[in-house]
Amino acid sequence: MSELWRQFEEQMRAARGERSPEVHVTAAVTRRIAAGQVTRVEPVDWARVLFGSATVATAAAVLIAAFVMWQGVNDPLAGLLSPIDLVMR
Amino acid sequence: MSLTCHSPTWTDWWLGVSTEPAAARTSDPTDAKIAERADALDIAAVLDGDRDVYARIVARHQQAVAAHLWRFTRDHGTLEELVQETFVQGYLSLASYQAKAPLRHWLMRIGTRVGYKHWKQAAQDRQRGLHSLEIQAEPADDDAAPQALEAAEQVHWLLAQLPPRDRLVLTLMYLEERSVHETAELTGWSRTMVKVQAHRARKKMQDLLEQQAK
Repeated sequence: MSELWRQFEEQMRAARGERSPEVHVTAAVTRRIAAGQVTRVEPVDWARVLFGSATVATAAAVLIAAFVMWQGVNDPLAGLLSPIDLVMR
Repeated sequence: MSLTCHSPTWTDWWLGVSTEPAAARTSDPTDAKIAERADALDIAAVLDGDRDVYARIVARHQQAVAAHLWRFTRDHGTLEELVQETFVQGYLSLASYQAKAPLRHWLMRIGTRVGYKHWKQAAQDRQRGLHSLEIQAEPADDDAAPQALEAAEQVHWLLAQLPPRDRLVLTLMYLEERSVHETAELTGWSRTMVKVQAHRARKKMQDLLEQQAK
């Protein structure tokens, strides 16, 4: 340990003797809470989160399946026209 | 969060820090038990919707939180703002308090986060060329020891020359004499991280002290 560090530690020891100023924030905190500036976070309802996630996942799966099916049926004439497509062009 | 006492390791010895929790060194266990019981009742009331009861919690702990946050600022106005912010954040997340440690320790942890954020904001302002408007501290009362005030001014000025992370670890471990375990609890860092950070910060401070001595 260097001499400078030792002196710094001495200063910190002396600084610890300093008293912090008095604070009175009770009224200000109560006012902020009462004014509705803050809303307390309620504990997470995991059952609800799980149910919501399952619903979203199911909806996404149904959407993907519907999209794939729609891709196959959106143009029913495509199968008939494809052989003469070249001639028509 | 638990603040149990840990046996000193060689790194604790080498870093020159105490392994005994600061709370155990300073507070009366009987008073602490009474305060804990009162806290438990008040927390239950607040969570039941009686938010006015939170004022009792604020009144009970505001001075302890202020003493901790006085390490983060030298300006009385800023100190009040930081203490206020700590209690508002405490109210916001009171439902997540699991009573594994006294409420005061939990509030100190929030206070540390609030104070650290304040330093980071001040450092960013300095980088952008915005000067901090922090006012020099006035003595807390007429009886305040002038040597303590002078030493505190000097220590705070030196610590303010370091980046916020280094300043935080030195403030907690050396100025507040907190153990590695307590520092880890307050900062949310791992114990290894605290030791590494303390080693780096100490090196930087030694370099700074040498520069100042020239």
